[in-house]
Amino acid sequence: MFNFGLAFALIGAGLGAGLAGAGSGMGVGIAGAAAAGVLSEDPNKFGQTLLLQALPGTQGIYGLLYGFLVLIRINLFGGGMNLDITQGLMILGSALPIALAGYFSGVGQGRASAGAMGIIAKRPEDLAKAMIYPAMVETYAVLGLLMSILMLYRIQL
Amino acid sequence: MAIVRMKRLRMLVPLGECRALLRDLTKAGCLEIERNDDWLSDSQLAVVLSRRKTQANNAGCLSEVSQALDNLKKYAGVKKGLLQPRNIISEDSLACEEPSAEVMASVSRINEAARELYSLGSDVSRVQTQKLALLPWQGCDVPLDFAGNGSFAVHFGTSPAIFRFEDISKAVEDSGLAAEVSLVGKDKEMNYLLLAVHADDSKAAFELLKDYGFGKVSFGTAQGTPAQGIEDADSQLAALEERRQALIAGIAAESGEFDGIGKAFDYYSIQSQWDEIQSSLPSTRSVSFITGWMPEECADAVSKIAEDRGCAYEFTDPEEGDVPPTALSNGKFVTPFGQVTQLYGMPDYRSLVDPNPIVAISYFVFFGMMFSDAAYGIILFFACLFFLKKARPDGGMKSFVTMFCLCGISTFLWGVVFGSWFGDFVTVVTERITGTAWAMPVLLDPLEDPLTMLGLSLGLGIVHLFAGMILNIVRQAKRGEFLDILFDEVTWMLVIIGILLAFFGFGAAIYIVAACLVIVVLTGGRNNKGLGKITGGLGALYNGFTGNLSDVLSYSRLMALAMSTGVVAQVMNTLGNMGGTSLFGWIFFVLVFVVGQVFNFAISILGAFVHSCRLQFVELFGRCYEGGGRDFRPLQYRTKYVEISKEA
Repeated sequence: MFNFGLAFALIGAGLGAGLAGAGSGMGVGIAGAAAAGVLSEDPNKFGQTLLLQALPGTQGIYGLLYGFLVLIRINLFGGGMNLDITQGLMILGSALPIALAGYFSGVGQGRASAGAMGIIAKRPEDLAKAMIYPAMVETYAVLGLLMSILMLYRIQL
Repeated sequence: MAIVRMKRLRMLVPLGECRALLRDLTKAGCLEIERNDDWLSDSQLAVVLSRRKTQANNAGCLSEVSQALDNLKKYAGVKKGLLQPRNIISEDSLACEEPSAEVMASVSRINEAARELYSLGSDVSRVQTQKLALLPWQGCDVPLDFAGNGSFAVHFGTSPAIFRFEDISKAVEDSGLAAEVSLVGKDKEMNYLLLAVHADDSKAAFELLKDYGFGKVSFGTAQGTPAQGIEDADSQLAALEERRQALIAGIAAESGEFDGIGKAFDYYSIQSQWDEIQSSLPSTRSVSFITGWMPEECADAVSKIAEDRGCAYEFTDPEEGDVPPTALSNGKFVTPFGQVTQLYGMPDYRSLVDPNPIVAISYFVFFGMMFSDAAYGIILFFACLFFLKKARPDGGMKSFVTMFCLCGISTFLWGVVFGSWFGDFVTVVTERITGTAWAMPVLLDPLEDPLTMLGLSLGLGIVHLFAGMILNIVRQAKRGEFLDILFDEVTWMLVIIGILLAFFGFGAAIYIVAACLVIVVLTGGRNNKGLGKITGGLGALYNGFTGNLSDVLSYSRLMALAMSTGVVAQVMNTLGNMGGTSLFGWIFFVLVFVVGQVFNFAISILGAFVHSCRLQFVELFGRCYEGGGRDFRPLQYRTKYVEISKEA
């Protein structure tokens, strides 16, 4: 017997973790390129730039968090539940907020971090302000995660 | 618990006492001296006032000493360890004891060696260039300074590699000139040629070879064969390298003086700071003028100093138009968290409320909730405590570490609530060892009960926002803006309370909400004119609603970050558990545990720090903060390498 429901649920977990991770990957990459530029001028700023570069990495963790919650919810470690197609699709649907918000906010936060590297280059004493701009972007990943979790936990299995 | 009240000090100092007075003030550490440059640009004042330059060369010594320290760090690898405390010396010894002759001799030896190292570098590159130029000629056994023999001359030259040597040689042969070309070397770009030619045919030969891009190469004053030249260069390089090693060893030998030089650095930096102040003071022939800001409570101490030194002085309150610096005075718990506010910028001196107590309490709570692991909390607490005891930092560093130390306590408490000790480490380990899982007690599991967790996050958020609003009410009350209090803050607080009540089942509360919203629409445009009264009201409704809603929702990050700390730790444990319980499995488990938990610790503490800050800066300060102040920076000892002992 094919277990389509479980398959859809796994696609959901994969999309959530995968797309959010991809967004973080791109974001950290964009920020890293800018960080390397700052560092080539002033090697003493490694710590500060690394801090900013790490900021867009949270989306990937949120994606992982969501994916892990799905795996627990469908008891994959214990062999996997029998889900019907509707349930599977519902889980797949719950993946969309964190997948989309995670991907795009990851890229956006990477850009904000890259911009903030300029602050580190010219006014290193304003590190706190430089961190706030990227942190503003992350709000939307948090909201996406929130929505995904609420949906996931309200699905009757 | 608030912003410190400042007094302006004006003082006339006898010229001879100036230096001693500056030392006393530095010791007291409570006066910020102003620069009165505009006095001297005033043409009338400038008749009697001038600057008295000091003669001492403390700034020069400072730069020498600081260079020596840099050189020691660079060449000898001397470092002050992070945990190494600074040497304690008395104030007397710092301010009065000139660095000993041995220390200064060591400084000049170090700098001399570093300068020679620098010029050595250019020697090395010069010799290397020479060597590189000779390398293609390696196969040639004709001495480089060999010009020829009687009527035959010998020339070294190159032609581009696109010409084949066979063609060149054939062309020379066919021309019937008394000349011969031989190939010495060849690389991707050039043929390296030796031309022997009779004096009579020299011109014709060069004319012919021009077609093959032949250009003469000169080796300057070089002698001997190229192979000898290369050997020479090699031995020169070896000698230079030997000299370099000797110089570095010489610098390293001075590393025993590091502490002494460090003390000299602090000595000269305070002396040159005094020089700089002294020479910037507007002075007549007998007195200097000092003006500056100091906290009110320091008045007695400063008066005593001034009287001891025979100065005339007066204190005044800040006047309209003055910009006094801002200093904050808070209790023991709140002070370290002042660092967070300072990161954002000092509040204005005249701002009527101090947000620091709210910042302190909420930062403590939020940080712990987001970091949320009992074991991490213990590690953070003891690591910070260890650092404080061992390295004895001072100033901002001390506050910062103390703040994290306190946050460690909060992290531990929240970790206990969430039952998270390195995630579910206890469960996994007990299951591996005994076969039955034994879980730590849990008060609230965010993964099992995300709705309660969300409610808790938003609830804490609403408390935080209300605290900010109440602070703003206090501020507006002090200004007498009672209409604003009633129609803005109070109305919106009622809206939020009403919605909460309705949510928990008091349906009637919805009428309060409706009434308040009507009030907002009616009063929102009260400061506008004409049609603006209506649009202003609708605008206030829209802005207030979206603003408050998004502010409250923003606190859901408390839940998200708390869950992410727990889940990443759990994922690491699950991953480590996959190796089974064989010996190899255990090694794998420990390895994954260490690497995974270190990673999670780092990424989670960063998130907790940034987002706790953000919740203060955006959500709280947006409501009750008046920025634009400048930091109070009194004249005091700011030493880098020594620590001044506490006793007077």
